[in-house]
Amino acid sequence: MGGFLLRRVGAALIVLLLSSILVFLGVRALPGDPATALGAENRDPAVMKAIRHEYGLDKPIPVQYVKWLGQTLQGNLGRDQRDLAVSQTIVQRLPITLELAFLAIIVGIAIGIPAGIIAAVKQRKSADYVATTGALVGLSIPHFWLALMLISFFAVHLHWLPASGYVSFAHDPIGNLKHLLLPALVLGTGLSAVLMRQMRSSMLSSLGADYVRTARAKGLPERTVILKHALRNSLITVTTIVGIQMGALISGVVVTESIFVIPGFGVLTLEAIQQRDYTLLQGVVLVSAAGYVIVNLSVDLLYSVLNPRIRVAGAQT
Amino acid sequence: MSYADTSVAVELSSRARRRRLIRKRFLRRPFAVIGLAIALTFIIVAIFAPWIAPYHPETMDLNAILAHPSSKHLLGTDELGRDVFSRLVWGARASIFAGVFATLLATVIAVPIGLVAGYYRGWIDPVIARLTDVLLAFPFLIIAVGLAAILGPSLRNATIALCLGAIPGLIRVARGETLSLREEDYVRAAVANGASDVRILGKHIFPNMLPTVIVQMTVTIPAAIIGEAVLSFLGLGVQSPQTSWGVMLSDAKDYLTTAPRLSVYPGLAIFFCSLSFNLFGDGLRDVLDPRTTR
Repeated sequence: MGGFLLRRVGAALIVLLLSSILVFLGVRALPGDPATALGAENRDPAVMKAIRHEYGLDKPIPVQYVKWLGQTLQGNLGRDQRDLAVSQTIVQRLPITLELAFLAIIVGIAIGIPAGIIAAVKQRKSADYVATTGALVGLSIPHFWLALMLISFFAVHLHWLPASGYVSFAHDPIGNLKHLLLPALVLGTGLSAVLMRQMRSSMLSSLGADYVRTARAKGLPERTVILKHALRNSLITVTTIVGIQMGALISGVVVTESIFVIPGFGVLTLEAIQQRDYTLLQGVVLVSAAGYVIVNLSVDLLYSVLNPRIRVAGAQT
Repeated sequence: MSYADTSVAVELSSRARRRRLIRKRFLRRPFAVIGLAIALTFIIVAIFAPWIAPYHPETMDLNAILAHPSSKHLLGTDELGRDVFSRLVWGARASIFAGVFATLLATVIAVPIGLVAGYYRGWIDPVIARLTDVLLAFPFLIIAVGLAAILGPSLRNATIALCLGAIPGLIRVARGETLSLREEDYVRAAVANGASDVRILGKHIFPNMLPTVIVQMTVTIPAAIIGEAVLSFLGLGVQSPQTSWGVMLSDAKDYLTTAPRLSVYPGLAIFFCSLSFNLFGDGLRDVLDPRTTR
């Protein structure tokens, strides 16, 4: 177990390091010299040289990178165009997105898992066809369009829910949930479709496994066989799916937040690009990459706890 | 070398037989056939857009702003009096272009990488695995945001971002297939015969992993089509007044209360287009899955 843990953490650290290099180089590839931006109207070569020297921009790229990495590791992501600390802005915006993502995962699980179980248990019956078709529709539907349709129906037409905006949970819990219900539904449907398909296929293979046959042979009621024996093993795969879907979730969050005007991390990303605020963009992209790597590492570790066979197999490769 | 020749002949005829079997099994799945038919229709519409669209997509008719569907304008007009049907037809171009090209390009890049990683293992495999992980750590939207910042927003750059987003999945599929195929008897036989690595990879492993790669491509295309729409919707892809389904939705969202139909048509187009590829892909997967072939 120790070796496995070390290998996974080591791999994650390498990925994080490579990602940080990519982000650093990406921002350096952006048009526009930071010194020009800082010097504003002043185009005097001497002044520019002084600015470059002051900010270390005249040093070789690797030296600049090491310095930048050192600051980043201390939580200093620089200052954006409004002279606010980027890390501060991210810390303010991130909880909103995390709440949205959390609600979306709950929606996805609440729809996807029961639908997958029913489809597998009632294989080739009408319930299976309804669930599989639903999942196919969920996969094919553009979610930002679904968002527009939900807004026009529930907010514009029925006036049941607010069309856009956000209030904090601490300020007004009911209002907060009302504002996040539609966005969470939009984000959750895509996830539920993927979960349902995965759940169905892994339940089908569990239901055909020997230990399920043994459980049935022991005379256990079908309900116990399905919920205790088959489901427990299938649920393990669900943890990986949530990890793999993190990338899609991050992409989805950016769009969904922009449609529902939720001032979260996704909207911050779009603001950074629209305002050409490269320090902010750099911080946002770095945090999103780190979030992805950390979630997937946790998923891998959780998976190995839930499924001992992985540790053994992992040691062999 | 006569021995090798007969083996190739036997292999070919069995491959031809298998292909015929697959076609027969595929045609027995109505949803997959319908999916293929609709997908092909979209592709044909995209190719022949100038001949199918009754109007130029950017021609404005200021006497018919937000007009309802009529014989003159099949699906009505938008806020600038542009023919919605014509814009939808031209929009298919951007979507199909982005979806198909991003997927093709990603396949051409990813499959050789996956082949090398899976076949040689050793130090190259973990190196490729980590690089794939790095690519995965940047969701396609984040890559697209970065590319739009560096290169400017356009359909081409959106397609590159979608391609980069599709590469990791395809590498993993190709690598996984190579890992299992290299243990097959016919590959071992080829190794024992002294065949070169290039020949083994190109003649024995690649053709046999093709079905799985094609299935992965058919699920990547609809994802990329939706991805293009998302990027254009956010202003990171096709730029107005040029048309794409995402641009149309982006324009239409301001008219949700007054003219909701403007949002309905492009959304349905994206939906049916990606649904058709998904139906085709699902059918193909079932047909090619060896567990259901037996």
